Amino acid sequence: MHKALLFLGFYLVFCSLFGQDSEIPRGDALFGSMRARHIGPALMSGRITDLEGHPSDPKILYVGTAGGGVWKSTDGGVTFASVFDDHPQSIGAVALDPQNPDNVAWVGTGECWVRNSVSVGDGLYRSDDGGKNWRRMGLEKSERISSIQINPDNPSQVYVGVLGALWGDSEERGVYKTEDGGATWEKILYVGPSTGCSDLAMDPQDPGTLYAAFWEFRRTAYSFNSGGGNSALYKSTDGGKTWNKIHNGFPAGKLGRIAIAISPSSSNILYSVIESEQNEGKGLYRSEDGGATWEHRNKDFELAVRPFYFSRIVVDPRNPDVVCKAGLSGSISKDGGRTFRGIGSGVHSDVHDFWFDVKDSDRIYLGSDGGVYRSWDGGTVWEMVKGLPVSQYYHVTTDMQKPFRVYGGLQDNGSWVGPSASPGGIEARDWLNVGYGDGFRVYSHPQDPNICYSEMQGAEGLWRVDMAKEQIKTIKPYAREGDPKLRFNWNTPISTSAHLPDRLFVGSQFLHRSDDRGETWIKISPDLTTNDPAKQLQEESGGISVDNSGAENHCTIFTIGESPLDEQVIWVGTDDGNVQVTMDGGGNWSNVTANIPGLPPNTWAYHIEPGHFDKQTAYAVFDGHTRNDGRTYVYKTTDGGKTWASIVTDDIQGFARSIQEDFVNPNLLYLGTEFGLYITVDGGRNWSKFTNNMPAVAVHHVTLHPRDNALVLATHGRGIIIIDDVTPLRQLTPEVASKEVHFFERPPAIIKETPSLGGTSAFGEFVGDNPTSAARIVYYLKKRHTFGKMEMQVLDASGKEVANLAPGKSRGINEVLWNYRYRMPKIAAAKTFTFGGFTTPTVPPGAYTVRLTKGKEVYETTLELVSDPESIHSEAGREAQHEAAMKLYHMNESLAYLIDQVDRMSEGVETARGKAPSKKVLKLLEPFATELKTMKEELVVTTGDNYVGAAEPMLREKIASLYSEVAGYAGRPSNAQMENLELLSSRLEAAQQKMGGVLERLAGLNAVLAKEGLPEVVYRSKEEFLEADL
Amino acid sequence: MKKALLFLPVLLLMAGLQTLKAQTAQEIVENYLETIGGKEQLNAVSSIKMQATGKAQGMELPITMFQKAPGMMRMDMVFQGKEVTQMAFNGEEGWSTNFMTMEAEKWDAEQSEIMKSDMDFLNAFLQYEEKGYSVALEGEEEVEGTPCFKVKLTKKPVKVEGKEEENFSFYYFDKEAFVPIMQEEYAKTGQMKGQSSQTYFSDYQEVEGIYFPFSISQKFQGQTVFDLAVEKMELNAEMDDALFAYPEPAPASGDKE
Repeated sequence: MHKALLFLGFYLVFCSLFGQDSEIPRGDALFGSMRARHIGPALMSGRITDLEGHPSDPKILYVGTAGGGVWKSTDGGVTFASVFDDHPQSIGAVALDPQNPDNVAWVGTGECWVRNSVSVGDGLYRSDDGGKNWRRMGLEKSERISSIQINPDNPSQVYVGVLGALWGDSEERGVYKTEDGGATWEKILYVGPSTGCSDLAMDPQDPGTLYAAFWEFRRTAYSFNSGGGNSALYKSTDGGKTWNKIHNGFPAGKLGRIAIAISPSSSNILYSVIESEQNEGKGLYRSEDGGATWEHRNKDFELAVRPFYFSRIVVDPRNPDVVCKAGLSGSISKDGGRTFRGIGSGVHSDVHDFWFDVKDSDRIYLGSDGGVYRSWDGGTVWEMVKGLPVSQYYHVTTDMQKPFRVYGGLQDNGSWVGPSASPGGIEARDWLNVGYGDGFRVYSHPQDPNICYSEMQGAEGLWRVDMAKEQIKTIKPYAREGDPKLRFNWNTPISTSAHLPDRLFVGSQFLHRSDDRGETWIKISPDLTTNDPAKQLQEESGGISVDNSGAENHCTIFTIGESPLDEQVIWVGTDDGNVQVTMDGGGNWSNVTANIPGLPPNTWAYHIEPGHFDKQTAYAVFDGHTRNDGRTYVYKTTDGGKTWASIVTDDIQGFARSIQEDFVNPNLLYLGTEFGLYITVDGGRNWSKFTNNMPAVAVHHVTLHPRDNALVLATHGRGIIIIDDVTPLRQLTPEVASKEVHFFERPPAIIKETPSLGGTSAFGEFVGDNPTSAARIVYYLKKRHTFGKMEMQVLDASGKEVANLAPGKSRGINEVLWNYRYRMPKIAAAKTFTFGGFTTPTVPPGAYTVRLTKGKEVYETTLELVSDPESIHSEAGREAQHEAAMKLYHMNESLAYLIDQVDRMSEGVETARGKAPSKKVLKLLEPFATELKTMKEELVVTTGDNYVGAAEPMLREKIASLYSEVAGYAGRPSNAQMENLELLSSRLEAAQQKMGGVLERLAGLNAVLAKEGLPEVVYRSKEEFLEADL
Repeated sequence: MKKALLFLPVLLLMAGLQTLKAQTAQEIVENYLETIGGKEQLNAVSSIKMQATGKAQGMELPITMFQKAPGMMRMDMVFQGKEVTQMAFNGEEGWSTNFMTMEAEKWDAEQSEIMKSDMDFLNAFLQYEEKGYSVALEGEEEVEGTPCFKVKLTKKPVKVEGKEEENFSFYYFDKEAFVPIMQEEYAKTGQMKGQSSQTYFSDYQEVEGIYFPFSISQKFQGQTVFDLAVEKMELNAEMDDALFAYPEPAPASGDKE
């Protein structure tokens, strides 16, 4: 008793110290084994920012991407694996330590090809194990890192070029240096708060010599400025202590972005490409004296085009006259930059970087807006890497097909429709292209499965697409008599309606509505933006090089949210910060922006989500990053916009772009931010980051499938990511969280009759994950199970165990999959396998009990299995199939037992023979042995192998083969199969009868053996045999 | 057994209290070895025989595993009433049964070498310093919703395709229970080279005074690929070394006499 009391005391202390009773857990503990799956696609891939190979091993290549992190190949670029999932996925530069390139890698986050849609980084990272693990090495506020240069003689000395903030002033930019491998940093060259280091090069022969390009640049939501008095090229010869401008030969006047490259084989030869105010001075310069003097060599289009996007020169490591220049198509010179040729067709436009194989200059890799390409012939013919799913979605919607399809548009890669599941996995061939140019928002027609709407940048194209016939009709609205010029955002909002199937909305500065699939349009609003003329000068945008692509179109509507409860209620958000709502279908609009507390003026209204439970409720997400404000803004109103409350907590990282309200539980919200997916189950009081197979990628849009309860994410760099079943989160209340074990309620599980064809992709091509077709058993564990036994059984209606599953042990939500099949039948032991015998038959529909035994406690739930509603088979057909399959199943086992009897008795006979029996006994034993042997040879194969040396099939093989055919098809077996079954069944019966005769004689034999003091010949019971492993 | 069960909660409590103090990797490892039975007991084990069920892709497969000091192992599975050696290693070379011919075939030499440097009996952390291993505390992380110490175990480098490569993995020790609940490793060769997989340990149960995880679950990209449920474990059973050795084929009949 004493002891027990003491123990109780310990226990209480223990609980009070560590107990966390009815709190809903957070993070990993909340989501448990819920997992995201990636479906790509990779056929168009996505923007690549930086390529970096190993200095001596040509098999190793790192790929830095615009929004999809870092990928590494160790096989020369055939396959790639993502190695940077836990960190911001926007990559500026990748570098390998020249002394220890196998292990030490550096990644500077924040892309430096600063288009309007560019993501942000959060500093510099280092890996000491070849990219398996990373730690941040400072420069947290750098936003974008353009280059990393490591002293080959002393790798703890590293120089980093920081381009810095794009959308505002920042002092964290310039050239930084560490002497201690990244522990501490010194800013060694700084020009000003709006001028960053856009390129940095180190002389490999003399690491104290450095060249640094500085660029004065700035973006706003409505303008871009490249160039100014501060753009310059600097050189240091003393490890960065002193720097001098090296412009001798450069054009006068303002300069813009400058690239610099050193010829690795002859380091006095430099190339620089210059953005210049003077048209004559643009393009490529070469120096042969380490930058003391420069000669202008070329101003071809490809050399001068869009410097903010293409300022990269790469020199052949063996030949100082072979130079590659990034560009709209990319180009190569073999004569030191005097003349260039295009790099050849077949490569996606917008080339950003090149990498020469370290041993063979004919072998070149390039990175573009559409992935990585390889050339084996010095850059004339290229093939695409098809295993990089770094596609950059802007938006995603779904339809009601089975399986549902996903619709969305991508940066520079058009608009696409693909299935959320496909036999063999979701392959490149499953995707349909439904729009040109840059793709954004795509919607299926709510009722016509062949129709979808798509668009390209700035609504230059707005299309109705007939997907069956692959016809595309332009349906955009035009300015009418008396209208001002229509202003459409780069990423123009379009939307279908929940109330009228042929209705379509599109936003310029006005909200336009069509009720006939886009044939005719009316305006249903006045200008809903601030209409600030100072923000409508996009044709002047670009700075010293005009860049009027439409990317800076501003004072436009950006989000349209029609209430699913009332077609008269429509919300609109604008890129210049207005939130407007109409309660009468567009007759009257109220600007409710001023009612939102704590929101800085003109913060981009990125997404408005009207409530699904109450038409006065809405959620609004604002993105301040184009105003250099990275904070998270998410608000909720419950009174039609009169008052708003923030639902943001410190749990959330990154500016947000999209919110989705759950369709069943109003406290369950899903939020996409620049750094991933956040979920709250308590209306925004606590948020948890979802991380299981979900990288820290920018989530641009979140949608929830109303039928399948799948959360579908448009990521800007990792394609479409799906979390298949969010229903457990709906049921997770504090009461549930207080229980030791809680089974979540599940809808009946469907016995899927999935086809087994598909899977035609070649090795190295990306194939998207399918959802599971298994039945899910989902439960909550209050605490992780670590000590003692825990098991999970599935029992049929008679209480018989049909499966023993491996239960999840995680704290939080656990998901266990059951493939609703019986175990494999016992198969007669023979010389070889019969492959049909590995088939497992499907269990019949009905109620099954799932029993979880955890220590002494037993928890049960019922699992309802139903036939596939999509089945092509009749119930009678399925029943006939089941009956035949099970009959064959048992025939396999009966034959197996028969052979077991034969084997056991043969053993017994051998044993008796070995004991030197009398001649009389021997005479009895010998024919008995022969009979058993013959019997076996007639029933199973006793020779050959499992491949082309296979013996002629015997009864075992024939039964197993028919069994496999019948069990493998969900419908009625063919008449021929049924006839064959009868034949095989009668043969089995004949064998069993024969065995009956043998057993009759066995009694007599055993009597003789016993008399002689010899061991009897025995066999085991069928039950015993079926229980045993062997 | 009864004592051990009583002892366990007390240990857990002590371990819990200790988490309030800073821990070194050495202390974490020491506490772990103490928690599961103590070095003396662990060192007294010379062999393990295990009966288990392997679960993969909806199949349940009976498995028998043998391990013997210093570094021998064998895993047999039963298919259609036939025992197939999935893998076996005698401390020097490994072999498996070819599924087509049902005959033993040796692993390639590199694979055997890697196995040699990777095999630990009975536990990777036993005498880790003498084996030339090192441990380092890498911080604290949650695993399966459970606060853990992340300990890096570095073994001697291995040669892969002629190139020496570091050989390490991470163990996540439950801060309260002091046993590892997860190990993260990286594929050393093949098409998945460099990619991580996670092995989860649970159902720790006592066998002759020592705690072993009776449930082992392997995941890749968050998805379970293989489960092992131990049914029976026997310590110090007699095992012939021949059990682990490549079965030399009988000489061809022409060579006889």
